[in-house]
Amino acid sequence: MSSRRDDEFTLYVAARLGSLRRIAFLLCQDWQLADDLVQTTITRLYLRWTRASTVEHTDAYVRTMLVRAFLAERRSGWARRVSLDAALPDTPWPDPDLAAALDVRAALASLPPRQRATVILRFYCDMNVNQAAQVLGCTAGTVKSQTAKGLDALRRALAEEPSYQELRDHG
Amino acid sequence: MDDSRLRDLLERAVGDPPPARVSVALARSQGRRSLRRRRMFLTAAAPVAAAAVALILTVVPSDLSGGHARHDNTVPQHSNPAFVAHPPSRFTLNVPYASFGWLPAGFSAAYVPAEIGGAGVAGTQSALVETVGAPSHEADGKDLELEVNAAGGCRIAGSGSLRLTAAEALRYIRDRAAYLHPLWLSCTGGGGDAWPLAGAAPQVKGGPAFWDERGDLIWEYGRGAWAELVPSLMIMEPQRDPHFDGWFNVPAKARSAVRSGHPAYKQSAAARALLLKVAASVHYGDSTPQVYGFTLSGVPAGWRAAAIPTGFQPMDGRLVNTGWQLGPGSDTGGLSISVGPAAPGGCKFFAGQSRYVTIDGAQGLLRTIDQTGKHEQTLCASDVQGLSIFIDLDLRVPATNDTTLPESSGFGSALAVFGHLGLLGPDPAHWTTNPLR
Repeated sequence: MSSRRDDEFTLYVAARLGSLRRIAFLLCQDWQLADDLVQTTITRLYLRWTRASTVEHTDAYVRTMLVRAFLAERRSGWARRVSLDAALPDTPWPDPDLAAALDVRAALASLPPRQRATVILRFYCDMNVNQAAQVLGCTAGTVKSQTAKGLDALRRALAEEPSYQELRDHG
Repeated sequence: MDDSRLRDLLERAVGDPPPARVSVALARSQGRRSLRRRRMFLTAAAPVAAAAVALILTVVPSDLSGGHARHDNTVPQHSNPAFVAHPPSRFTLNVPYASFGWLPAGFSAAYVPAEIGGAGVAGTQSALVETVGAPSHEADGKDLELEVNAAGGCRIAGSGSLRLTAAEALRYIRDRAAYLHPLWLSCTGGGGDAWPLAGAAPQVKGGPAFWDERGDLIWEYGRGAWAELVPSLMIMEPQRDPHFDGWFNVPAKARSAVRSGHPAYKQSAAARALLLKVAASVHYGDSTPQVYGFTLSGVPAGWRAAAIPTGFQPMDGRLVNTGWQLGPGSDTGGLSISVGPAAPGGCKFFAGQSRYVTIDGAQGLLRTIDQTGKHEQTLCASDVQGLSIFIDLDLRVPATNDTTLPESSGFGSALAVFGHLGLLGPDPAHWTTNPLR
């Protein structure tokens, strides 16, 4: 195997690792699982590097691999047996930013995997409807409906629990 | 909640990432292992592939001459049905569904089995061919990969709720020279690729076909079932190679993260004609019973559960399964065993790593790789009782890189694994359908 291939691959992955981990974390809601997902993705990427490196949008190609690996894993037997606990600690955190972050994490975790992926692609990866549809392998209409459902669920989840600020103001 | 507010919330939800547990070196190592195993098949398959091509010669004598292709645009005639009326909705993991017919001179085939789809369905099978022999320069290392998807595994999608049949997609593309909305073939199996349809291609055996933006050939081989033929090179930057001959399109890049920008390079007409010719000669639905030239005894139960076939190779004019990949739960690909027809010259000596051993009276090469992050042993023999053998054992569990494979399993070294191997000779009549004992 040519070392240049390895060099290019290493440089590419090193430059994108942080971004891939963050997306994976939002999808998985757990850093260990996120790192496992990224590890799986970049191993597959190595095998497909000759194609990935010559497509027009390598980043989009890799994000597609990541999201589809996540969705495939969620459909697997393992994902059915193991579920992440989305519960928050009983005591509000003293740091309002951290409290907000935990609220959002819990709200995201409450979404079904496909809705979660849709919301993350649209609002974190800044993809338009068509791009998200391509990644998810569905129609733009499905992306729109999944986005609407996901946002609605997020709004409800975030509104159900009073925020730290509200607790402080009213408590 | 507006978009920017939501993005801000998502950013906050990520917070400060802990140190990464991701290892690029491990990805390279495991990826290389898979590629090396693939290439081992190619090396072993080379002389046999020639025999298979010669067999096909008798079927299509006008297209081939002495195993060498004429590089013309003629699409060969086939005895296969033109279009598969009832393609399967899933593949059997250890039965190759599609196989190459005509291949350009110097190409040899190896086949990798169906990949398990997300729902546990074997939805995709791949076959890989590449040039054989020492390349005179890097651009000689051409690959051709065939991916075959089960019926219903792919669909054509576009903007809005656009969902098109192949015929509609062709009309859509032909009616609009510069069509506004992109179409793509989205497949759920295997790597879960989305193939952007860039233009219409000539039909492949009666099935509608497309080129994607990269120059991959995509065609419907049966009702609702799609295949893709992907040309690639073993080099990363073909545009920098003076020998690059337009094997595929290289899009212009204004500036990439790894190199400076470059103009676009267009796929050659010769490459397109060759892809069409290869695609037109693919055979489908050959479901001969799978037999193996070996038995493997004493396989731990936990390893057996994760065992998957590693590949197929042509023999006596049909594809036979060559081996298995298995291992403990933490590394289900820790051990790979391939046994095929004798392949003289199929083993390579690596200075400083390889040593000669005698196994069952035949010469073999035992290679031990003991480097940071890479602890492997391979045993390669080109002719033992008329069979070629390749054993590849990962001596450490990759996830931890410090845990040795359980000695108690009796699979602690490549030679120990060979001790569990029973060879059934070169005659497939004596082979077994149940190799794992």
